[in-house]
Amino acid sequence: MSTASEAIELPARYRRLPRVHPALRRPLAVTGAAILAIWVLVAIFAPLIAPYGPDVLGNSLSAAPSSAHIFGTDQLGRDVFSRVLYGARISLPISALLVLMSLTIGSTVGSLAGYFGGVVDGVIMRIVDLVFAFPAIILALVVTAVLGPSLQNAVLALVVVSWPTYARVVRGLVMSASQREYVQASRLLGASARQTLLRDILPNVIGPVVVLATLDFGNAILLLSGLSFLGLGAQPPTAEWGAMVSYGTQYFQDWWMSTFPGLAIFSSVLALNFLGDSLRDALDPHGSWTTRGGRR
Amino acid sequence: MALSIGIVVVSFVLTHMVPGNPALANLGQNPTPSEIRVFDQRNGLDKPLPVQLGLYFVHLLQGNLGTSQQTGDPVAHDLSMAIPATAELAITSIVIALIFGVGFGLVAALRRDGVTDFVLRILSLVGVSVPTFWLALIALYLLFFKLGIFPGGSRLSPTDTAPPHVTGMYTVDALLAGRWSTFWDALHHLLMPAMILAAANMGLLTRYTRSAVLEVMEHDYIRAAKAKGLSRRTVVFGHILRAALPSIVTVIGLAFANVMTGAVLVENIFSWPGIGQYGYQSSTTLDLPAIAGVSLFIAVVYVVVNFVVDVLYGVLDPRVRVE
Amino acid sequence: MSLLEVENLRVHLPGASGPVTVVDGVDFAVEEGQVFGLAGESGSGKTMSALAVLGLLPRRAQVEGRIIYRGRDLVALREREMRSVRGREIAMIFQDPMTSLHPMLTVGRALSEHLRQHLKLSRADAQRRAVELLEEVRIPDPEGSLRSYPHHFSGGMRQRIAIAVALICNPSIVIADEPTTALDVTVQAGILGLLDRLRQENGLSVLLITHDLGVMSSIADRVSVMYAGRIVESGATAEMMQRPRHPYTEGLLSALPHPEAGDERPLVAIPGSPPAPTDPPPGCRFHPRCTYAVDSCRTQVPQLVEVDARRLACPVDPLAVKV
Repeated sequence: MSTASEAIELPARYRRLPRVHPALRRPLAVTGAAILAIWVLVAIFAPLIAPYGPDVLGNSLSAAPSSAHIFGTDQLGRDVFSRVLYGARISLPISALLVLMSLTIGSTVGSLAGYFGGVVDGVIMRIVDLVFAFPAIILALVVTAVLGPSLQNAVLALVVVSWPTYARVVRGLVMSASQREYVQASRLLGASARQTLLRDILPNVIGPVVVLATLDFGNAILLLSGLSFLGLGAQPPTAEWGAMVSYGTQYFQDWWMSTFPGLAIFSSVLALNFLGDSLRDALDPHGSWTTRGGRR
Repeated sequence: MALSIGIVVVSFVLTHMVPGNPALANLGQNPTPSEIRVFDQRNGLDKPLPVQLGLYFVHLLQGNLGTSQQTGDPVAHDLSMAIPATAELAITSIVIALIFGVGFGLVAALRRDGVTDFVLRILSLVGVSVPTFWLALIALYLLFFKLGIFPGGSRLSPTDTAPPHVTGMYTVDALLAGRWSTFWDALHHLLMPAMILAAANMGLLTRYTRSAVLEVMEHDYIRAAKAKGLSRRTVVFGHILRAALPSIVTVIGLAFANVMTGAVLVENIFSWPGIGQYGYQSSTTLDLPAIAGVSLFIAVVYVVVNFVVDVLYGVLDPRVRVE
Repeated sequence: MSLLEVENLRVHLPGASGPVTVVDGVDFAVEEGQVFGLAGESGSGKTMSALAVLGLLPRRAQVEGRIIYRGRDLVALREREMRSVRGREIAMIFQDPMTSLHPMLTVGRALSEHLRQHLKLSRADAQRRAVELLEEVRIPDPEGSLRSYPHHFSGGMRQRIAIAVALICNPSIVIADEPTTALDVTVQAGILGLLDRLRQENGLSVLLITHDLGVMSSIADRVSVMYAGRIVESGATAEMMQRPRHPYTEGLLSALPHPEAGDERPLVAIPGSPPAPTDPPPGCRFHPRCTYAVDSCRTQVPQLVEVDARRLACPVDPLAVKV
């Protein structure tokens, strides 16, 4: 308990993380994690849980929810419940892939800009500004329109518009981490850029980036299903949630056709935002939603 | 300035260096080679790309955005028809989001850690999580189809006629013309899509206002205001909210970007003849000049909104005001 | 009867594991036209005692005891009645003038808003009075200053403005919480002189809170020294400064430089640091840091008893030990 050791700031990789992160003990985080876990299980075991196949045409057409079809059936007699379950196998992994791609590109570009500064930084940030000037969906609209509407192209379009967010955040974090004394010291001792970035800077960047990615995951699901809803993403008869909502709009009175797939989108995004918001609180107690107390 | 030129170049390059073939998209099934040649010539698509870009710049300076292949009208004309409809929707929606978001955020901060705070937190997360297009469908089903409280789309009832064109925003034009029934009808049609568009921004603003207000409340000058014996209303609105306002204003730029994204979906669902619907339709028909015009317009709006936000910030915070 | 009498005041703040007592049975009195000082290190409870007088403690704090001002118990007052006392009868000057004035409100507004609320003055009368006060605290160009913002002024000038804000409603007591701590040494003397002059001219009483016994000795008539939420010694300032009788007071004084006395005594810091309010030591709270401590200090809480026109909570009298 010497006071001297408290005064020295240790590199983040030496600070031990508690085994159960405090954020995960909060009710919102728990709810979010639980809903998300259910969806992940559904995605994995959809063929075992689903009462019908996603594309099996049944005899009862446009039937309201009943014991045989708890979410009802669509115009072609397909079971909406089964299609929603199978939908988890498309929306969740593909959105995750999308986030992973944007994160990788954005973090790499952002850390290069933040670490080297100067001309590299100038050029990269101008490009970032430029992409920011176009709302995501407009750029995505252009890209998918010219490449043709398909799920792959929608993902590609969204990667193009979403990497700059990561680049901007990571650049700021890397810049401030580079100012720390232990990072400067390790640079003076002759560590290479690669070593410094991976060993000394990365641990400082990882927390905020994880929060950002969690919140962005939800956003990715929304944008991807939005594009599919517009007919620019997944194409029928794919059991994709956004495309199913879109299909349901043609049979407006049969509310169940679009209500349930939409509820699936909503619940998974909400779960991710519950989780991300709680993580953000834990990382940034100032102005957070749950920490208590104020001034002494 | 550099950003503006960059925006023009990007919107041009994006829409021209592409494998898609606009002639095929517009001339329908199996056009003859001569039909394609005529189409390309008419639209300047036969010249090399740099020349097309140069021409695009020259025309742009003349206020000419090219001709829409889909409507056959100049893109500038199409945009001028669509912009007021979107502006009316976007502004109304931002105002709704501001009123509720700032109000909720303020209440959440003042009731920090209480039940109200928790409920508002969930509400704000629901706001940012709900898919706009799904919310629109649910609202249409319940409020239009089942209950008949709101109309099911478009800007006016079929029995009404548009007010004389001044701003192009029907509510404003109806007021200017003194046509009250038209005003109420336009407002009636406007409210539901505007509220749906406002959901995400309301969530965003609630969260942002809450943390800005909490930050302000830590300061000594708020304690000093209480020590002066000022009424609670003066402390909350005159001191706390006043100090939080500049940082709340900085979110409006982001809110506008959200509204434009949402507008593409909401305008399509509500048959609202605005920029979102125009942009969507031109992208499905590969109408290159129209897409370039729409993305150019939206990027310009983005730049202008951010400039206005900067100016507003200076007006609200005397410390950054230029002396 | 004293103007303000605090009797057996206790303040409990909510802590992670149950309430934490930060003020533990404090008594003091402020006499008409006098400066009463509360001294002690940060965390000793002096600021909390002052905030309790104004009813400005954090939201979930609990207050016990009595605070009698002109025959009324302020602890029992309703928020609404308390508001007519704050700023009007009892005003407050804060430590850091860089943060205690609202950065986005003009000096004129800071001076007049509570003046108009409490005294129902017209705008013109309030403005006239504001100019008068700015003259009194020696702000150059008072009329022009009304339209200026706090960031236009230096730290010393801002503290003068804060004093004007506190005095404008003619309160009978001003609570000054470390009014010079955040200021440059060269400016401190000016502010203290100003406070002293205003007190003499207006018959004002001052509750001065500071850790700096040098400041205390220059203007306070009587002083109470606080340690870990309790008063350990109180008496007339001059007396106590010359002959401290509590080991803690003595320690505070030895830590103070005396350049003017030409005195060769070495500066001695008190070893250790004050206890955390969550975990106070048993017996006398100072005993772990006290060089005179005897066995009974570790178990028995020393009572504040009358000794030679002074009150002392220590069984060991350092004077007796030393001489």
